[in-house]
Amino acid sequence: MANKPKQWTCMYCGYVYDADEGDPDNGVPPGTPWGDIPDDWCCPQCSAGKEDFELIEQ
Amino acid sequence: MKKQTVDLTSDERGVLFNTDEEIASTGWSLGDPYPMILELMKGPPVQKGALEELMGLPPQFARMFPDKEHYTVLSFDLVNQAFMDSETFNNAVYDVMTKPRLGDTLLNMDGEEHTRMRNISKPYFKPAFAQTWWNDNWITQAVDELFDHITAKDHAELHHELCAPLPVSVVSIGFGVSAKDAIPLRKAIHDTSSHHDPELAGKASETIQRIMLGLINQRREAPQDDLISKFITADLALEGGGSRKMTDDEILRYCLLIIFAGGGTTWRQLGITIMALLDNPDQLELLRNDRSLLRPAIQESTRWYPTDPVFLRSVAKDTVLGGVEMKAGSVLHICVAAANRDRSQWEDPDRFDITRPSKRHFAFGAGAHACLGQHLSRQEMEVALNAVLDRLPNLRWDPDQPHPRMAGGTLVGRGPDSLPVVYDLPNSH
Repeated sequence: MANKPKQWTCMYCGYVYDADEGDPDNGVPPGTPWGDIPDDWCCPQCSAGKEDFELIEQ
Repeated sequence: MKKQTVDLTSDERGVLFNTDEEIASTGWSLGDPYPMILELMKGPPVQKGALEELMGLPPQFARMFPDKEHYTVLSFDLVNQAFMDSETFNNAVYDVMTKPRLGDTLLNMDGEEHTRMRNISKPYFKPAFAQTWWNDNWITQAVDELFDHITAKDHAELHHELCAPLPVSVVSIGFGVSAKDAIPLRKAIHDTSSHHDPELAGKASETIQRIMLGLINQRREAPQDDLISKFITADLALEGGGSRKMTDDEILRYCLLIIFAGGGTTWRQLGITIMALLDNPDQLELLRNDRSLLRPAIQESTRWYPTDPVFLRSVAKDTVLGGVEMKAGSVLHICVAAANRDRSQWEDPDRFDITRPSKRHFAFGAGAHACLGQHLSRQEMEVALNAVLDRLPNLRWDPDQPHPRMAGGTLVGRGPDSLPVVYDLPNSH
């Protein structure tokens, strides 16, 4: 079975969301898969929306 | 309703928004740097030397750091690596480049200090805020005012009638600076760096203090729905916990940075976008007929021709980038113009194509110091381009004027020297 994608990058500033690390400072605990992040979460670096992230090919 | 655009026809603007003056003051007349940058890309992705030296041009940044070793990075992956590793490649270069003019600002801060200070303004520059507060309060009215003048005739010089006044109006008036004070303030920020004329620099500092401290005092007494009032009431987190309000001096420097940075870059980038569309009429028509391509068109123009082709960083510790050893204290030239045309990332990257799949690039930098105002800039360009398409039917170059050229006083801040256009008036058919 293929691994679930774990990293997504912000198209505007390059911030990388890693599911293993989450974004605890903004209420996203470590281990949170991309699909479970709330829709109103935004890039902690440049504030871009979730829709502005692209999957990093593993 | 109060006027929400500045008057750029006044003599007060001096050298501001004047490409010819810029070129005259620096001695540069470089047209299009891309042929030289593309030539460099045939070599290794990291090269020893300042970008301008590698391009065979007179020293510019190298002159600001005469005793340092310089390196230039060109490829997408290594540019990304440098931007994202702000512990190794930090912003100490701005202690030389901007601190003498603007004082301590986000530009020359790093680490936690930078994060705490940036968090003050972050909520006001997020996409949702740009699309609502900035758009509804300032951008649409400014664009309407400018187009009321433009459409009173059948020709315009859009670079100075639209692209220049829009961002400086939006960012200044959005802060709380009046339309009347916006240009004197911007000119004063420019003049503070006049090393050869201390009297001029002194007067400029007085002008800044008079306008900005007066404004801060007014807003402390009676806050309004503008950015300076938001900064006055914002909480700056402290290193050991807790928070405090910013001092007048911190607010002043923050405002100067954003007003200064927010005026010039969007001016030129909007001009580049309009020039690219007029030079590619098929793309212009595509966009006219499908406005869902607006954001991709802006993403493409910023990729294809970023107004600032290079960003600088200090090498904070001995390191190796792309197999090249660099000593602490060296200066790294991050050539985003090259990275944005990396052949491994884009097909036919020298072509302007608004139908490309949107993809990351580096026009607004990246990492912790990615441009704070980039979402505001996109919003301004989107509203302006929509108006260009809606209100200027049959838009085309003015056949009686020379075709514009990409120009600028330095290697950064590139853009067209003019945008002379003609169009049909609504009642001309």
